[in-house]
Amino acid sequence: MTIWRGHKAAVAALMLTASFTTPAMAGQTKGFVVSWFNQAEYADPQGRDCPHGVNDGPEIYYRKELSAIGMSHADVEKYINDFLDMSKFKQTIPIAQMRGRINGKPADAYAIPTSVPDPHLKLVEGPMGYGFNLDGKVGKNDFTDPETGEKGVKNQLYRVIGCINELKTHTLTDRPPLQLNYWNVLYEQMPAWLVEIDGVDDPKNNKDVTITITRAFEAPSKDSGGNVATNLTFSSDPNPRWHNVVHGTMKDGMITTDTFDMNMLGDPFWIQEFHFKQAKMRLQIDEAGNLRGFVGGYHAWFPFYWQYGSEGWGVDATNNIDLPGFYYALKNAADADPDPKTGENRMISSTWLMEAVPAFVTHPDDRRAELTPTNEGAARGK
Amino acid sequence: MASKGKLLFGGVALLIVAGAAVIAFPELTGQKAKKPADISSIAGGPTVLRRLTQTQYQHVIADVFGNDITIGGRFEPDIRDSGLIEVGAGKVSVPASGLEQYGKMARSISVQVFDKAHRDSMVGCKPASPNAPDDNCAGQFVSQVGRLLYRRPLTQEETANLVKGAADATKTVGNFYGGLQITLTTMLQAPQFLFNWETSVADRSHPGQFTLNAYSKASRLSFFLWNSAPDDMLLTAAEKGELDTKAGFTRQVDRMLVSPRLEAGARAYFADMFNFDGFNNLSKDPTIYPKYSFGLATDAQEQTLRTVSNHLLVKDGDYRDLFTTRDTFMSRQLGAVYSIPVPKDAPGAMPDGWQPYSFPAGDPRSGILMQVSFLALHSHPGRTSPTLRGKALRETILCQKVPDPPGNVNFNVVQDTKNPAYKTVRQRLEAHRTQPTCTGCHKMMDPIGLSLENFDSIGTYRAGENGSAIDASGEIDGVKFDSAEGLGKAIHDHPATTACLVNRLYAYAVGRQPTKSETEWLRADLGKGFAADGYKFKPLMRRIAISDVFFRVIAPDPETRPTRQASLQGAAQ
Repeated sequence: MTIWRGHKAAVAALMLTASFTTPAMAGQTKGFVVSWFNQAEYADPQGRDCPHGVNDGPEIYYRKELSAIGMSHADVEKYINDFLDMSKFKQTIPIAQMRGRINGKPADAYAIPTSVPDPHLKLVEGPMGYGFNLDGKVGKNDFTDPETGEKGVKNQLYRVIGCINELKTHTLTDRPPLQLNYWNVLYEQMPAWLVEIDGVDDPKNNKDVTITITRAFEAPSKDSGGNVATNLTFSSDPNPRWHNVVHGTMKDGMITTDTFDMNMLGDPFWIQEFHFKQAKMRLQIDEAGNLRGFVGGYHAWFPFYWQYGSEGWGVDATNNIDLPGFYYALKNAADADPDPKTGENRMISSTWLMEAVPAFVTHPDDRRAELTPTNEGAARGK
Repeated sequence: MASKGKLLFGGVALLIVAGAAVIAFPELTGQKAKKPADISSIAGGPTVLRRLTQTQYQHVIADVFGNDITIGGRFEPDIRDSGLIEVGAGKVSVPASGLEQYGKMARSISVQVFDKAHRDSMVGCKPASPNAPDDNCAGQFVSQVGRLLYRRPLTQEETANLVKGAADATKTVGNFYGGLQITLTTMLQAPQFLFNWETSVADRSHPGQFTLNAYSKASRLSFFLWNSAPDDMLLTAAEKGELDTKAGFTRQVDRMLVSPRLEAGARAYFADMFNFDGFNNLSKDPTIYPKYSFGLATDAQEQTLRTVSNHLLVKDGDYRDLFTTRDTFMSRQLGAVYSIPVPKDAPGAMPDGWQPYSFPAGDPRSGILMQVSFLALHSHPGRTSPTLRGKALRETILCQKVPDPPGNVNFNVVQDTKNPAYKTVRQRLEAHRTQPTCTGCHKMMDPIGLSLENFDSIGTYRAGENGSAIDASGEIDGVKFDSAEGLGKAIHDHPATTACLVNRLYAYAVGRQPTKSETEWLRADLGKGFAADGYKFKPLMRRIAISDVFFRVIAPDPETRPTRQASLQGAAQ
């Protein structure tokens, strides 16, 4: 009997949960739904990541930037007092938003961040950072991956966000607060991301595995415990724009991929579209059958600004991100794809933590297969 | 302690095994009938005044006013008696707080019926003036709607009172439809609507016996087959006297049995029989069973009801095969628990997301006992319970009563799921059974439930517990098996399985426990007929409906019944 590809994937994923070493389970497709995808940040236990502390909060940078545009000390202090007063803070929004200056005239600091002088945000200075040596070179400013020890890691996005309080991961295991907030808001609305892994014949070592990353028609769901629900069925969107296939190798249980370009549809509330260049991945399936790994690659830096810049004051003031400063930091840290005219880099290296849970992935357009019911007993090695 | 054996006491058997008593009616122990029952000697039971259940109320409103009328509010809780809510419905009243709730629902329904989107089609006539009483138009409305709501034509006095009430209300609110709306609100709170009244009359075919009048027959039949009030055709048949003739009545039964509405009736019965109201109070520990949710509980019930409906009504299958069938239906959410994919465009997938599914040979699941609904409903919030599962199976599927546990039981051993000395439930229960007061009853329940231990508290398959492999062997009434599948086969072959359905379906149909003579008839006649029909459900419903016994009632009790009716009428005023 033939079966749906996704069916096989899911069965295999479940079999993996039960007993990965059973030879009968080999060679099947494993399906997953992504449960977390965000910037990979290393909270250095030795505090080397942000030796000068995190960046200032809005009371401080508003003081500096408003003073810089000529506001009197008294007006600045009144502004800060009003800003901190729940009954008056709304009145302060236009002042902060229009603190930019172009030819001496007020300008929107979020739409035109260059209308505010670069406040020179504090950047990550530590030696450790997750990711990959994307260009094969080892430079003095590159990171070393704390898990693999790989040197020459390019992850300039981490360098920018890693000392911003609301974007920073504060321990090795927690989530960065603002990214978590965004993720929780959009997660059950945004079509899911799906990962399928083919060719795992041996539990630890396989020369050739294929990783496919696609987008689902359905959004993920959370279970009663607040976590992403496992073993749900998802239909893979056949749109080739969001169909990424890459060859990989599994060694000692770790899958590492060849270099590839990865394109995925995000969400208007988050990043609209992801287009990674020269990307690499490493993935590992844990004993519970869950997938964890990293995606590294170069990506246009402006969308990372605009994710927050488009929301303006709400992010600038309430999430402690000096948006013009964030803009300059991204622009300055960008390390790839120089503009032929200006020479300015248009892309920034980045690393993303990806976690996924077992799921059934089906391919509605795939007429090579047809449905047949799973054998629950066989799925458990009975 | 008594030894193994059966002791008969006046028609009731106490099945005693190793000191444990499972109280069962003789037809449920698989005994052979001594002789066929004499139908003419069956006196029948009392008439029953049943409060509409929640689903019946919803069905009636939808039937009379349309599916787009929303019913908000909280229903009075139903009570279960003799294994059925439908029997409990004959033993409940409406307290003051319940009247408030019915009042709220009535107002909400009336407002919708008389909104601009509905009122023209609902009222069916135009008042001479929209701002003044119109007794003709109001009378037409209350007569038509009242006939459907009260399940009989209104008396002249009732109509006159309601029309006068509508006129008075119209004058007060200055609007004809507003006045009629208030009158409809009154009708929806009336005991004639909220309760299913049964009226007995002398049975002309059997002198000295009593039967129901035509409208009471129509209601009993309609709530039995459709779980709703009689439709216009059935009421018309009652008006014409057709329900008092064998041919006319049988014609109506056969019409109703081929109606798509039969499915609602069958679903209501099995939801009642399977105690699905228990899901209203079911909870699971989300840290242990995060997949359990209200949505999953809803789908679990729906899966079993679809399985039953498809097997018994669509396929016209053998009732016993429900316990062995591998055919069912699957939703996306259930697929996550059963660990199977549910592609939305799979063959046979329905627009509502459900799709037919067959567990393949070799899969550990077969039959409705291995579906999430049974497994989850009869488990604790954080662990399985072979005892609860065994008890539920005995009580709901075999109609046997398992005695309640004594009040001083020490549950420490069974509740401690992390005790390294007892890794599996089987080991914990064996330790628990060393307590003499527990041994007897647990032997009746645990060997049944232990065969379902491969399914956790929400029905997910598991091969082991705390690192130990699960032994799914079990036994019921001398039949041993080594897996849940074996349990399903044992229930399939158990004589009490079919006897229980016959007994309980009849109790459901008449709204009370069968009398002693009815019980004998059920065992001797109906049970045999059920077997002769290949244990098919629709023929069983038909046999009950067209039997001479179905409407037979004892002489009305002049002392008690009027008193209850009067108290209900008083409460509604």
